[in-house]
Amino acid sequence: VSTSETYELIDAPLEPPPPGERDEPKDHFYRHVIHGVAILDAIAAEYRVLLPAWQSGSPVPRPVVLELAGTVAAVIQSALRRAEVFQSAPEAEFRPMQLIGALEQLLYSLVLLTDDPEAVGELPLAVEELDDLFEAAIIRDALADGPG
Amino acid sequence: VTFRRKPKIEANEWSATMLVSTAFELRDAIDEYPSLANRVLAGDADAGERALDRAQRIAALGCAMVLRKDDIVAGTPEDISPFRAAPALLKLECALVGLTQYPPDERAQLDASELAGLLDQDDLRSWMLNVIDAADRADGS
Repeated sequence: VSTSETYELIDAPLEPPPPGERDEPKDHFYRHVIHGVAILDAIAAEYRVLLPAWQSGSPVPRPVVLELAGTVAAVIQSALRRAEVFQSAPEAEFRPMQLIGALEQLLYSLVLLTDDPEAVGELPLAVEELDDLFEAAIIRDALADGPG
Repeated sequence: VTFRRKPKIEANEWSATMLVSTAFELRDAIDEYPSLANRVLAGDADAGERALDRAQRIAALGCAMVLRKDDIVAGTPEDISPFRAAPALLKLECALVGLTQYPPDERAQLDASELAGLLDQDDLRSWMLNVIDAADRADGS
């Protein structure tokens, strides 16, 4: 998914709309959560393949890694432009910043895969640490419910 | 990954190094970002490489903060914690990664107001200047 396709996704109204009375901040929140989780899941699958290759010194195509990182960055930046929407969501119910945190860690790790493994060492997320991110309730529940 | 020198402040050695690295990286990235963005958007490929270099440095700090979170919390007083800079660094990272895209992701870029606003939250400007000042004084002593 390119960054332009990512924006098309997160800008499009959700069908069916989120539960309850419809308002723009809530739409923004749900669009970024639902598509953010789907993008996290898809790109994490790519990361699980890329990381061992990078660690073993096999060439990891930089344009591919950067495009994945660009997609994650696009979602985060778009969400953070309305950070108050995320921060005002009921923390006990959603813990929405866990999703931003998971995307953040994946973004940083992907960017490091464009660098020399010897220089970077063990800084990128290990696969087990990546798996742990999916234990966050907001991510688990959104994946279980699926888009919409 | 080489982090910057450590200051003489109340933090353990590793945490102090992280703290100073974070403050300098934040300052340098904010200083360099506008010209980098202008050059990339004007088609300068070298500037794209430079944006990636900056993004890699911030990514190293971001991953190190997660990996060594407990050490940082234990080794740094809360009021000077480097975690205060994390939201600003993340926004800069997203913008810098956007500059590495082909074509560049213009929507991920920060305008002048957003860039200035990075240091306004949580009194981050004072935090950054105090840490850099402490590091410079330690270097001079």
